[in-house]
Amino acid sequence: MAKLTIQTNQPSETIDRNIYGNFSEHLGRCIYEGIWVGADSPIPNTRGIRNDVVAALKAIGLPVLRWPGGCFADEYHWMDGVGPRETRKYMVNTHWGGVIESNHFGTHEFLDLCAQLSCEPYICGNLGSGTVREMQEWVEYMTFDGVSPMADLRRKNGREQPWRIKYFGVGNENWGCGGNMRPEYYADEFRRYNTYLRNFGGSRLFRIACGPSDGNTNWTEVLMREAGSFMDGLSLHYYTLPNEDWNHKGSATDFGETQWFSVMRNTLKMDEFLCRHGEIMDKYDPERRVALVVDEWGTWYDVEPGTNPGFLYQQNTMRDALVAGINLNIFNNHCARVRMANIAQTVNVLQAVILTEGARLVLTPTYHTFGMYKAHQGARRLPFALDCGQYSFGGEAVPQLSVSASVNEAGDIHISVCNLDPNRAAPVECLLNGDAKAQVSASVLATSAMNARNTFEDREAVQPRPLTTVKRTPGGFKAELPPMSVAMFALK
Amino acid sequence: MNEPHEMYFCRICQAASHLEEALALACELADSLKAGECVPEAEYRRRLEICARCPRLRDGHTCGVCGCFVIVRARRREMACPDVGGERW
Repeated sequence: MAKLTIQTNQPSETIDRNIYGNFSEHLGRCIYEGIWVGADSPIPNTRGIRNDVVAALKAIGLPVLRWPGGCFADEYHWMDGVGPRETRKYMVNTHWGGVIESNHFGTHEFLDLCAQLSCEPYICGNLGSGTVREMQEWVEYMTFDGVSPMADLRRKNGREQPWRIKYFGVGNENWGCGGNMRPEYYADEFRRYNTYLRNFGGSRLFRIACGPSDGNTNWTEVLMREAGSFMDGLSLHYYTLPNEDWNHKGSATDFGETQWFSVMRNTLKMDEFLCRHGEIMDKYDPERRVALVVDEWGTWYDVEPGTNPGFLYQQNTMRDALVAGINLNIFNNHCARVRMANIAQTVNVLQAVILTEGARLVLTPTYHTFGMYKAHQGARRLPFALDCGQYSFGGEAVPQLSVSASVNEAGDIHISVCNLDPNRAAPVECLLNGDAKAQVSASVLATSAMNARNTFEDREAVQPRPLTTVKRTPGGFKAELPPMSVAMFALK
Repeated sequence: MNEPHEMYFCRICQAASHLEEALALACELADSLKAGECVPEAEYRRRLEICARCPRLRDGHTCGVCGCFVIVRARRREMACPDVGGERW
């Protein structure tokens, strides 16, 4: 039996609710079809934005949304997306599926979406192919409350009051699609662009620099050394692939235990990357003022058979629910440094929380993990000790369980536990060192098949349900987690 | 000790470079469907003709509503046109 000891009387750092953020890019059917359908669409919408998607995202408490990319951000010219829609430029998004980019979803529409969602916007500016002036004027357009050419243009376009923008990314993946820069060059470019991003009115921008991918610690070292004092956050991107081969990533739905295990093993590398980049950041920023912002993460598979590879459309199974639960646990446990994360992507692209087809909508297993973990948002991390067995396969092993715990302002304790083993249940004895409320309840996401998923024909195949094996004990509780499951325990 | 900077691998180029290969695979997929999974040939042709005139068709092969290659979707018996309110077939 696994033993989990929670230090309930030692609440630690706050788990920033922005860890539960999303990323939405002009790619495939994420923005167009997935979010934006236009005001004339028969799909119910508010000012062109799908009502069903907004309601679903509100239900999981989406705290922050990153836009417009991704690689798209470093080719996006914001002026193309403001003003009367009928006069906006049409172009082909050649990189991602050849879809028509109508620019009908631009700055005003994105900020309307964030207002409908009651979430923070996180805007990524164009450093790769834009100019300092273009980025400076975008910030001025959105946030300046005085008289200026950009503020006046905003008013002319129908928005009198400035928006409150906090999170601003200065380029994306500038080591690659954002300009193929060396870290030394990007560090200087970041400093230059950053100089002209003004704080207007009462707002203060939280400036996020392009960070590394995976284990590229040299990028982190150079950025922190040369520009650490100028930034508020440094991004990190890491995707989980079954085969670690970008040409043959593996199927989202047609897989056996070999690919199940490799996904579990590979996604756990997130912890290693956070430790390695975090150590470098600690060297230059021991007070942990600069946040690590994991603004692209999740699974990346081969696209669904018969679909355009540029759309990056993949289904989502119980395996993805585990990936989400494991990564969110890792972020919670690193919350002293990780203060935002954005799963890629919100709708119809990569590890989406929502899939749509025409008017139909499916909530994925990943969505349900986010819903169950909502209780951690803004709560304080609780330290714990875990003594659990291993999940072994093919001569390799990973810990069978992944855990994080928190206590909220009301004193309610929430403990999220993932069982990575697809074959063995996990009996767990949890000891609570300190105060805890008397009532324990639990919900679980579990299925009998590794590739169980929700489809447009069967939308509720994977749903959270009460976990009936949980029993309160004098010192805590006991429970048995089903194989390949995500559970959330609540002491209220 | 820092790692040497790795050669950058462009995920965009990787995805874009697979379009022709994916189209070829889609043709194979459409041809490999069992008889019971397919609509009759005449219905398949009718569907493709409707797709060809559809404003949501992208680059002559991809449905902008669902992201499918139409040569596959139109062949499947259980599939319908995904366009809302304007289901064309």
